[in-house]
Amino acid sequence: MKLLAKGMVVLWSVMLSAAPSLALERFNVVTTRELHQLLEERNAGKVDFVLVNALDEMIFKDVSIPGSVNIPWCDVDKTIGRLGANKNRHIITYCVGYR
Amino acid sequence: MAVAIKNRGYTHIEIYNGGIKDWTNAGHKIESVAPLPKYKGKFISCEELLNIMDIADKNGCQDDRHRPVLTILDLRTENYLKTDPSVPAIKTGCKTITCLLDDLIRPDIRKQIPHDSPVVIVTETGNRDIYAMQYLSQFGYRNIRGLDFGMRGWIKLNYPVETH
Repeated sequence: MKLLAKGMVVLWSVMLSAAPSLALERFNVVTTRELHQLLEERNAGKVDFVLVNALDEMIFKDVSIPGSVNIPWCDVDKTIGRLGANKNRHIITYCVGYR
Repeated sequence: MAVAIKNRGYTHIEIYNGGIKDWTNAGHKIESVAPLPKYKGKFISCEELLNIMDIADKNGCQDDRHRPVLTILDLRTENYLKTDPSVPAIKTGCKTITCLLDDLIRPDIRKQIPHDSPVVIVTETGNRDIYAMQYLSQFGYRNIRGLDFGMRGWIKLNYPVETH
């Protein structure tokens, strides 16, 4: 899959809700360079965001980007509290990567 | 996942599409608090699986000692959670174990996975297969294969599926 420059990416996703349906959602894509920069800025106290590893706990413990929290896709309701109460907080999610 | 978070009221969500792969390829640090065993798992193609299944299905998916000749280990989250009944699964008469990857730590789940006949892992894209193989390798499993491109590849090739 071709790497995309920063911009809007259209992703098909399955909504995990009581009324499941296919949802066409658009989310900004963060590049590797941008994420690295953001993490450095966060470590310096300049920005705030939550980096979410959406993989299974077993995988998260084996490999994760430092500074991530684990919110497994299979266990969202039990772990969503790790994002904090501020619903406007900046969140960046990641998995293994594109295939 | 981003959709799931958005559905729970969060408004400012972005995606790092490159994931673990791009991060490590860029040479950046990775954290590992509980490393999985090192194990080079092998993969088979969807075409190979289809061929194996065709033969297995014709023979009732059992050998002459009534042991399974093929087991599908379906680790897809969407299939396990069954939030959408139209989510397709591979159509086969062979034994299928459906669970979450994290469920593999349970002895009662592992007990269902044979050691002495082919087992093929099915995930959404094949990306998580290697982690399951690494984990199970410590229990002596050498008969497990990942599926290249996972269920997405299977569906793209219009191979047999069924819904529940």
